Amino acid sequence: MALKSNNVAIAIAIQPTDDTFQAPTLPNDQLVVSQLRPSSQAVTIANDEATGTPIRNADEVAGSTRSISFNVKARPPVGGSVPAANTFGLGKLLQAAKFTEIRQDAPIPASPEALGAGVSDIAVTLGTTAAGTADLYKGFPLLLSDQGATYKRQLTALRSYAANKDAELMSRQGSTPSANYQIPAFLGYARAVTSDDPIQLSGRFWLDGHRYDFKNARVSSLQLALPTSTRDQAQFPEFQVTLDFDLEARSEESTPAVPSLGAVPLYKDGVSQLDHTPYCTSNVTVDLGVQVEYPACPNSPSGSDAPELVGSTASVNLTAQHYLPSVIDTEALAEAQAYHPFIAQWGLGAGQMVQVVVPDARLSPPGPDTGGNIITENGVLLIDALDRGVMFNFPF
Amino acid sequence: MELKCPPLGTGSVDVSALHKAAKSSNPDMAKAVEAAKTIVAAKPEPKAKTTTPKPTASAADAD
Repeated sequence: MALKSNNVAIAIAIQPTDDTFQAPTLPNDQLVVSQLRPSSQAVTIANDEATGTPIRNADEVAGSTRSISFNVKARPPVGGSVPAANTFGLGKLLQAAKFTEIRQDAPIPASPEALGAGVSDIAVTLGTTAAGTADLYKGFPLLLSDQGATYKRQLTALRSYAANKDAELMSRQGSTPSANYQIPAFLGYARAVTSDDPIQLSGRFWLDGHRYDFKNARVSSLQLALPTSTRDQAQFPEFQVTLDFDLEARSEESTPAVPSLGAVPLYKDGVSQLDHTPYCTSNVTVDLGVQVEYPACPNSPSGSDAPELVGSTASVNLTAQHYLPSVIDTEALAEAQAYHPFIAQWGLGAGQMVQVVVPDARLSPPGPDTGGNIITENGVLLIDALDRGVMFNFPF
Repeated sequence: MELKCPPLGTGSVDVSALHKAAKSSNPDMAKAVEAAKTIVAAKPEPKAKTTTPKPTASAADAD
């Protein structure tokens, strides 16, 4: 019987100790993925010893570098509530890419509360329950009760938060908010700029009964591909992940059953705003630009220690409609090199929403493209090493 | 002095606890962030690995 490529699965666990395999538990540590592609690259060295003939010895095999790539749909945690700490599969991958997990299991305040004075369509002042601590709620989702009848219309996020409770919004509202606010319960992942190392992962993957155990796994590439689902074609928003790892063991074990997680929210009927202006994109790619290196160590079987995350330069690549300068002048924004917010938000309702929040990005000069019937432009948002410079939120 | 939340760093942070700490009088936000964290385990400091030393030659071997 041939082995089948849909009969595959993967599970990952946080590895607490360097170089020590941490077995994942099923089904809790299982990830639902697509396009699971393991890779093994032989490390060889040409044997340059003279042989006394034109015929040379074949390359010497030093070992192999192992990695695995897969896609994870940008889907909120199932179950309708904020999961326990360090348990969300996609969240473990994001934490391994130097993100902080932010869990807020109850809304703040418990019931919607009146906004303070001094609001506009892009700024509000939170009310008495909010704490007067600058940056505390930066990047968090926010509900504004008078901005539409449904959860997803009322939802935005905070670009900044000051000690006097003044908050700038990520998106321009249809009218000046003047009623109630609430920070909903949510699970968020914020890019951390502290010097501490991100977590390492262990895990297992199964290729139709062939089980591979791996350890010391580092995220070596992580991108969120966010295509717009249009009337002509629909595509999944998904995280594209590559893990570099050391092989721990191989064995034969049946592939575990993979649960079905239901519908994936598609990127439409949502919010896409750049610099508080609606900005219609066809493709958005959030790239964390992760860089991993293996320190040399002759005491290790492979000659290298466990991989280390040594760099991450984040950016957002956008393909969008090209607008008149009176609508949004992206060339002027690029010339000024100031910080501007970008938000992408989509989904169906509470517990089924996703937010991509980039509070402060500089623009590289956009390139207009007249190759198609619609004039588009390709732009890049440059993200500096700012705390919470990229956030992925799943509001409940 | 303006009260400010420090960078959250690695781990899983319980914002409800952080919010509660921030609402208290004279909060130490750096301590509050650490208290609100759930970390599976910190990565140990890198240590130089050593190989098992070879036994030294005994007098009997020398004979």
